[in-house]
Amino acid sequence: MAQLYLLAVTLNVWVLFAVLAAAFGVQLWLGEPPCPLCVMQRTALMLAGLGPLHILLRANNAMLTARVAAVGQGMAIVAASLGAIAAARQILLHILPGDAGFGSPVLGLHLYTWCFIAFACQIAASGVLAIAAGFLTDSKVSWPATRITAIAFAAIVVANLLSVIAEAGLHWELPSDPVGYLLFK
Amino acid sequence: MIYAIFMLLVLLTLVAAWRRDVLELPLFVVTVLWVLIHLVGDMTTPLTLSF
Repeated sequence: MAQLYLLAVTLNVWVLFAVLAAAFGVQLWLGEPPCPLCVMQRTALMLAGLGPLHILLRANNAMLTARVAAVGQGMAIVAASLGAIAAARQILLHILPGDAGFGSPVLGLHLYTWCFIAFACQIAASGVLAIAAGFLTDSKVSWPATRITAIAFAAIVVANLLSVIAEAGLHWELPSDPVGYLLFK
Repeated sequence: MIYAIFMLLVLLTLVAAWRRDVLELPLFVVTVLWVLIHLVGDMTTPLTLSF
């Protein structure tokens, strides 16, 4: 049961990694720097990833307890709720008929709409995993995937950190409709 | 720069989690609250973050 739980938690981190990498890919591929609300949604995705990573990093080569799992899933739910608020805010800003929305749509939906779906799925998944945590029996586990998962997640956080520094330059805030990277201007 | 600070805090929280440091949860809470305050600030003032 513990191994299965850690597998689900690891997959959760990799899905969040994939969403962040996809957003970063769209930014680079289409040459569209993220707006401030987009960056806040990315920050919330990163914060949501800290929940399952809390479980992996606390449990690896130690005890996987229901307490560790509950704290991690709680972190993910709180962060995903925050991200859902930011995404809903951005959806509502562009809800009027005739508004083309911000950025290019991907598979028919804008990135902030995909983000809202991702946050809703994260909340549901964390809820299910929180229920499953109630059936965990304290057990010592070793989970080799922990290290590479945490390093990959740290790498995508660093990539976004460098990107936002390049985008904002020395300004405190980002422009509401960014078109380039202020650090290089 | 404020968004870079948010992400730096995320990174610090991850490092704290890696080290199983007691600062992990306080850092997480501070980051979430700061992002939330920033978001509410945007919602309650004329469009600043938008688009």
